[in-house]
Amino acid sequence: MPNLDTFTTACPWINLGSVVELTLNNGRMKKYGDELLTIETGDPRTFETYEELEEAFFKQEKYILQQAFKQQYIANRLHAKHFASPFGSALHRLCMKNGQDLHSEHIDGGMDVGFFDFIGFGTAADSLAALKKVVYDEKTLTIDQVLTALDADFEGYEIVRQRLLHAPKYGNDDPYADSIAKKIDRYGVEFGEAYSDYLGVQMDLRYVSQSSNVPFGSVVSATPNGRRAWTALSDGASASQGADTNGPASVLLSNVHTKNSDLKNRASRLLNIKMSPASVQGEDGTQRMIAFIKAWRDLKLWHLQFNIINQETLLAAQKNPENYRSLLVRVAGYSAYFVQLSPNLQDDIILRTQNESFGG
Amino acid sequence: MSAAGIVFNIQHFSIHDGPGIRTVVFLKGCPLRCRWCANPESQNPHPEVAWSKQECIGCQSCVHDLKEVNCGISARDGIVWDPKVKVDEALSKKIHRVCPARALHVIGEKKSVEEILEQVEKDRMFYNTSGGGLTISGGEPLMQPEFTLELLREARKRQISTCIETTGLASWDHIMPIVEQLDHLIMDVKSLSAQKHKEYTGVSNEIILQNLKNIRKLFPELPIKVRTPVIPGFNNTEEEIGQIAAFVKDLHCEYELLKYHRLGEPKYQSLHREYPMGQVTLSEQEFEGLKACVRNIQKM
Repeated sequence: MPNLDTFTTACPWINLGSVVELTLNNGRMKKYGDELLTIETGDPRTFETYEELEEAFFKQEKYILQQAFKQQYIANRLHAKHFASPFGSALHRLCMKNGQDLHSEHIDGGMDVGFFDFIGFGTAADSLAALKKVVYDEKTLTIDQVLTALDADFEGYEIVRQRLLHAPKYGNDDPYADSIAKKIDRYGVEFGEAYSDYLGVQMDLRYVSQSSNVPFGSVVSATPNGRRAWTALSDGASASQGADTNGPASVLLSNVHTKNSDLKNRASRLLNIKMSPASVQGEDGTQRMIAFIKAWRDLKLWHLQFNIINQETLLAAQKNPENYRSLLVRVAGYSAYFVQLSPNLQDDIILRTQNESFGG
Repeated sequence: MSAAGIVFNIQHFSIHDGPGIRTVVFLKGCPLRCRWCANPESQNPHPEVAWSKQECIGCQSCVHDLKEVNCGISARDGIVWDPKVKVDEALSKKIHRVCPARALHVIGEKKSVEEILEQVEKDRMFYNTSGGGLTISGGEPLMQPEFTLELLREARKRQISTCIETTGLASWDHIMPIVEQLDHLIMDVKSLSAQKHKEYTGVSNEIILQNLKNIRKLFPELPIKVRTPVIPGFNNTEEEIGQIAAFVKDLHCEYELLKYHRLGEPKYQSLHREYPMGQVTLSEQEFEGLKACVRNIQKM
């Protein structure tokens, strides 16, 4: 909000993919060897029920949130001591009125609204849903089989990976996965609500990964949603890459059904949808796109962005970048020249499920 | 509500099956055997086993654990099974459980009207903003007339717009009450020649054409869209398409040509069936020419 928003400290990003890995490895991550990074929540092989696993997940999530909020507390206070913004302050009505720098810890009359981002929402929800389904409900695999396969990055364990890939996934309007995602969301929002007063800043849960889901994924080994080690996590509040097989309407509905509308939370849930150009072609295509956006509006969702490019075009651009210098793609909250993105991020955009069913 | 039907797919957010954004319920079973059929899995009215070569990871779980259908491996066809074994619910569940990649799978599942509507209701928001609704397709919805009728009635009760996609081949007693429940009708007219129709679809077109005429007479205000799949070697001539266009024009129906495509070919492989169309294709140029021919007739 112009002239009211006065909070300028950078805010934390929480890697939910790593929360999954920490849960499955008793506070450790493959990339960092045997170092205990968080807390020990037990060896999942000893868990008898899904509930125990979920409890361990939330203990890890809580520990990471605690660390993030402590960092934030320090950052908020250090910020004013080390930064000054004379030009920015000159453009801010409250700063001029109060004679305060924009980076002051608190500006009279200003609103201090911060956020923390969950990165890999789909990855985490799908991972828990897959374990619940395959290990605890259908019992087609044991937790030991899954952990062994994850440790091998699924090499030689394709059967395990296939079973996990075919478990319910967030983004298909399937309550099985969505109810787990909703719990993850709830835990975050409630945590923010509980500790905002201590920070002196309203901390809302946000899902705007921008491109961070790629580097964040690069430290996380294989996850039980079938994702291979070191590859991108899911972006924003979108479904995992390729997981939303039920069409774009279901993607929106999953997004709605994982919101905890009884709680106060204002921050964005960024949703990426990729469509083929043919799907929005002509007057009919335009009308359908309008209807889709209207439904999104009526569902009171926050942030929706489209990439309307053929997968073939993106693959061609990856191969012959010199011919595609002007190709703009929507990354997350911003657009970028495709050929200037890192190969990993390019792959991530190519892999976002293309909703052919939108038309063809 | 008591009726149940054999359904092989529910497609959310469909945009080619009636106005707006629709949810399409595909019913299994069809009285026609069109050579170009792109959904061969829709023809047999009973649940059946299929195998997708692309999805198969070669783990052979099915060979070890599915003695019920005599799963085996053939050098030529990959995973094979006994198609004569009746696929009941228990077997269906077992197949679902055995194959990790869902390469071996069952097409068709018994579903109640209530279960279907639960899925259809999910997309209500999109019907409201786009003028869409429920479309029952197939296979042939008129082959499960009681189920189709009850599904349409219940949808209407819930203020959901209704549409069916049909071959039009059914007894008038079945068609009449179903059409009463429709907001839109989509029907194929594939050829006006009875003999050709029989040769390429396995049935004559007499009942189909008569049904269409009767529907129009009794429901003069019902929006009807007639479609013709343009099939090389069957009806891809200006004469043939022109005749149909004129017939449709007299009946005050909307008319659309559908271009022949070969997307159904892998599905024949999944069912270990021969693709009946060989290697034929239809060029964009030829198709555009036929579309122009239709436009001329509509202008007359």
